[in-house]
Amino acid sequence: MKTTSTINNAQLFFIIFQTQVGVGVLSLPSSLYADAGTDGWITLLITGGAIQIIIFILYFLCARFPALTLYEFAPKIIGKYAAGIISVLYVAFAIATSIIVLELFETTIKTWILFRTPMLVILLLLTVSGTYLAVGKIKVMGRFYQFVSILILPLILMSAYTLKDADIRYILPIGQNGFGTILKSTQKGIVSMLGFEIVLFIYPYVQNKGKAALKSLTLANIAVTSLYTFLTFTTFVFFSPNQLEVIPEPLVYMLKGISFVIVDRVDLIFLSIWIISVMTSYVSYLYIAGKGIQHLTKRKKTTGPILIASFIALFFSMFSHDRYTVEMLSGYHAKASYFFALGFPLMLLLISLLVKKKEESQ
Amino acid sequence: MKKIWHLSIIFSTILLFLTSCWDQELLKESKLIYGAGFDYENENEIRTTFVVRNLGVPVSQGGVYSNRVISVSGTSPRDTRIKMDRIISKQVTASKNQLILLGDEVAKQDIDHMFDILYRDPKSPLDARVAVVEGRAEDVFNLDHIGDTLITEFSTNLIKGAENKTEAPRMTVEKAFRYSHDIGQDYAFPYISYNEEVGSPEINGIALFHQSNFTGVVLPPFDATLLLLMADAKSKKASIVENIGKQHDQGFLTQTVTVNIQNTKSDIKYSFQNGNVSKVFVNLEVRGNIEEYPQDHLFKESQVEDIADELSKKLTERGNDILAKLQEANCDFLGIGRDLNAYHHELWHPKQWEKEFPELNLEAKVKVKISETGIIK
Repeated sequence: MKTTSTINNAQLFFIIFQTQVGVGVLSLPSSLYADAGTDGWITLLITGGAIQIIIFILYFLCARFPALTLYEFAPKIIGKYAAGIISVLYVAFAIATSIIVLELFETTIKTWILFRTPMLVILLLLTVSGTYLAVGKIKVMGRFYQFVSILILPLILMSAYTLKDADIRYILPIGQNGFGTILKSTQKGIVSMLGFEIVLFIYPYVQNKGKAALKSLTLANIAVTSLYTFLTFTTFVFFSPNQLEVIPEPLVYMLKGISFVIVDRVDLIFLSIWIISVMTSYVSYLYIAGKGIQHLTKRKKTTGPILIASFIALFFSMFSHDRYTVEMLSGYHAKASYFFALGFPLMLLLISLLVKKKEESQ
Repeated sequence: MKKIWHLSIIFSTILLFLTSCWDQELLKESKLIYGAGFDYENENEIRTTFVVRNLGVPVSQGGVYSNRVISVSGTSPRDTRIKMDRIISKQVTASKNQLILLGDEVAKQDIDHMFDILYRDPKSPLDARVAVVEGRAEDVFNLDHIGDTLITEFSTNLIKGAENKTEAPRMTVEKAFRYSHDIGQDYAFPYISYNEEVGSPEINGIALFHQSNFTGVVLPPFDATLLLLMADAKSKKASIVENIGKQHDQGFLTQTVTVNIQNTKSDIKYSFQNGNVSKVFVNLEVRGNIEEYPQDHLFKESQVEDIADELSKKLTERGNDILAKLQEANCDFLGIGRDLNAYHHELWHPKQWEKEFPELNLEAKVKVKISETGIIK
């Protein structure tokens, strides 16, 4: 493998981190509130723990085939045909995720910032820049993700500023709805934190595999969990409980009321930064889909496959959609995502353990 | 190299199409609303008054700022907004509005119904100040200007001034949204009335709200300050004027002492009996400097302590009166319900709180400490 297409551990960290942070963060607080009431923010800590377990599973699977992506090692475990089906499913899943990301992006931008701009233009904004980035090498992606991660800082500062108006009594007493509801809403948290499964497709490009890679994965998980918990916590202490029921995007709403002498409407700045996090998630899934198509069609370059994937995603996201259809679609997508983030990798790991399949010539 | 040239040409062409031309809103093509007022018209109608800024000749070219006050009635704030658009020549924009006034009659209705337009619209000004007006909001805006100052700026600054002096809570649309949806805490808006003598509006205390309705009870500014201190919401400055002393009523201007509050500590304690809240103690400790005391010079520390003790007694009395008024209005301004929910959760009955609050046994206790007497004794 050439050194130009490898990523170091910091880049691995940022790729995982940025893929996980995405569209979900805006609506996360209110969907957690709907399930677990004022304890919703604790759910995220448990979610972080659950994701750590999944990360271990993914890591062990990858560690058995350190030089191969999922598309390449699946045939070795379960044979050519079954692996073909799984690869197709993964491609479909990645494209479906891109579609959902595009649609949520478009509806959010349309309701908050650009009311009259045609749908296609907003979609193209993300598609064109995203595809351009995905076509580049994995190293470019890693560097870009690393570079834009500095923008997370203003996001944190902005929501920390609202803490001056916070009332801690809104979330007390902790655990008032029982531990059961907290556990039950964990699934909502996992769905919003998906993205770690990209490790199945980028692990071969990591320079220092083994413990160092696992450390990056764990750190990324800790970073995402803390970021999400913090952001959700700020909205939970800012809004009175009944308000969270009626506000679908509490994070933006919270910042809308803030104005400084020079800067008005902090929510617009927040959304502008959030767009970049959305784009990185979108690029990651485009990359997964592109890799899959490349593998299935036995092409040499990924440029064509990624273009195909982005066209498919753009095409399907152009179908008219309102808040409710998008919510319904993302509901189905959430259910499916369990198979792709946990189900299939776990199955592959178990089978490979049973038949003792490992990458040869190591 | 040629490829890069091609790409950059393609991308810069695309860029031209990506500047958000559809959503641009030019200032020269829109009229900004600087103040909005709501009044009760009849059972199903509301009267909305908008103050729109005229931007004729720029000030730099010798023009003056002026307002146009327009008022229409309709079935909802949005309905009146649409009607307004028919009257005003350019696109009306409310996103920079900083002042919303409610007539006292309309405030007694559900304010959530009026504010829905503000909560729902992504461009609405959530940080606009809200105040209740004695009489009709329309009449305040029709004053047009007070001296050189336009009525909108005048009223906004009036409210901001009261906030800085701890005479009114900082209430924006966002806060109204927060508290009107909260069962465990109520709130109050600044109360503006018209001063006939001076011929201008003035801050005349705070209007107590219960959930989303004005209760009709108004606390005068001094009481408002004390209440805000009890709620631990001291702003930049807070002063208290009280009648004290034996020489009280002997001679001209010898009745009062004025204390400038430096810092406060407020604490609410609960005592329980048979699984019920038997008593709620609101303890307030204030430390301040004497700003005015014409009766005597304070040579000894004991004199200052006497003043502090008498003040404590007077303020405790006044504090208890305020709490009684809060209960009469059923306005849980101190968030006692929130406290119970958070710290004594088993005693919190959200559905009955409305009935329980007026029945509570509340007691205020104010302790004054004086640390300075100004630059003379």
